[in-house]
Amino acid sequence: MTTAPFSTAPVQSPHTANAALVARAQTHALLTLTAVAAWSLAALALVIAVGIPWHAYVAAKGVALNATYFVAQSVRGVLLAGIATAVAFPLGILCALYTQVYGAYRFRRQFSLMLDLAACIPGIAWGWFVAEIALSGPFGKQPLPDAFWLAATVTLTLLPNCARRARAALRDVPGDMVDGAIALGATRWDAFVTVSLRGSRAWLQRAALRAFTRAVCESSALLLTMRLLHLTPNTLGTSLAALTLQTLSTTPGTGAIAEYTVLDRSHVAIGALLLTIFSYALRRLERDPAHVRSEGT
Amino acid sequence: MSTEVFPNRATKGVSHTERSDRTPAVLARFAFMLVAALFLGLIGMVIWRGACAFGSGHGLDMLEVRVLVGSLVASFGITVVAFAVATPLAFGCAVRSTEQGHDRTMRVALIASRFLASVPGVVLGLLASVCAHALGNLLAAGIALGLLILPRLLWDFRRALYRVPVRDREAALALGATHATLFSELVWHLARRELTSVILRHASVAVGASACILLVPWEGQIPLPAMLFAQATERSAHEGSTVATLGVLLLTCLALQAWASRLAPESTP
Repeated sequence: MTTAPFSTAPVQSPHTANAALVARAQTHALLTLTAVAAWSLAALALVIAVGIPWHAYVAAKGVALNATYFVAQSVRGVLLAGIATAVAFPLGILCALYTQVYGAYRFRRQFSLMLDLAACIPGIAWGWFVAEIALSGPFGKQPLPDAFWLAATVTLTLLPNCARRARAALRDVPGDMVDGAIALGATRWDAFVTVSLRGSRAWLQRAALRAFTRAVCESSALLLTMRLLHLTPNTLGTSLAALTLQTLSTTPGTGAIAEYTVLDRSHVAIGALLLTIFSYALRRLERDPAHVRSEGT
Repeated sequence: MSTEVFPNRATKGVSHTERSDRTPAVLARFAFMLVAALFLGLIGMVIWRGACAFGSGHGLDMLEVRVLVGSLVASFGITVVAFAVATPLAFGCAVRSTEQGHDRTMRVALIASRFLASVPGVVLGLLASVCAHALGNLLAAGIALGLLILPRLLWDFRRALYRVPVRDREAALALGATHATLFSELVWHLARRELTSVILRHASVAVGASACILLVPWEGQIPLPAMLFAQATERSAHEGSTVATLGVLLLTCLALQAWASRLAPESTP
């Protein structure tokens, strides 16, 4: 007796046919909607990319610009950002090392939560904090140079974020590798230097560059510190981002800009363009870690 | 059992007894204590200043309380507008990236998001101030804030969606699920908690973001960071209202972040 071979073809019925059509329509709708989102994002970016130079062109048209001023401000801003990053980033790595390696295991959740909370504090609050310490702290404002307080403001703004990013980078290294090194006799510091630091090198490079970019772009915290300490804009600590704000005065009661002259407007617009170009160039230097690159492929 | 240390790259040339963890441990503890002291110092200073101001009779009157509540509402209003702009775009791009891979559309979107991520908040604020007359303050500031958080939101959404195990995804596809079914039945349910956490974390950042709203000429209700800036720089405003504004701003940001940390899977050590 012979039996009919088992058929793998789906049974065609009105129900399955409709289900297939509905599924295909749903997928088509999903892909269409996501494509609309992606192209809208690209269009917005294009508007911004055109808008910034266009605004600079319109504002600076016919106005004699002081090139020395821009160069000096840019150098000062980069110098300030470099100092702040050089202080904040190693401290951030050490802080992450404590929360991930040296800190008591049972408190790690609390340590992580504290880092998360510290990282979400707005920059403007750190600016107020530094100014309050400068005005009423044990040191007083006078013995220390103005640039110190501005550098301290940027450093405090960066420090919790650096620690948080470094913690994320260290978490990216498989724990088995670290445990293996320790089991083979390495101390925790050796395991950190040899395994964790190497394993998370790409993330850490990226974090350092982002911290530097953020330091260059920090503006409101610096501006608040400068205003509260009555610092002149041309001190060493003036950042490149503050270039866009420093020429403006505050309208009483609104916290916003008052009238500003044509010369100021042109300087602000050119400052914004310079800042964007600088920030984009720094962003281009970043390299994605290997598994981030492979995510989309 | 032998306790001999086997030589490897980590222990090469190092005597186990010579090398100690003490110095790095002390440095790491110092760094952590510094961050903790700064964090607690800021909170403590706000509380101390507030207590001093209220103790000396410079507390808030009803009018100032009303202004403060108005600022909080304005801040939330801007944040809602920002998320209304950023979330659909970021979420759509993230879903496409995970379901469709890197096709031409996604490559363009990712290049655009990288560019947007490099535009500083103060520059977006400048553009918002230019557009404020045409769009209105709230909308202009909200769009600027939305553009500020959009790229970060996109990358965090992508990360959350990529956390869904590949084997589950492949199993669903092998059983005949379409991309739409896969997303609605599997990915959404597994990633929902982390997506919520991402939104809350970025809401905390958006409420405290000041650079992109400071340049907008506000009238009427002013958002919290701009209000804080105005009160701190104007010496006419007494200290009680400045500290109260700062306290409300910090409390809002910290509450949102604490909620986000509670939901995030990363909170487990």
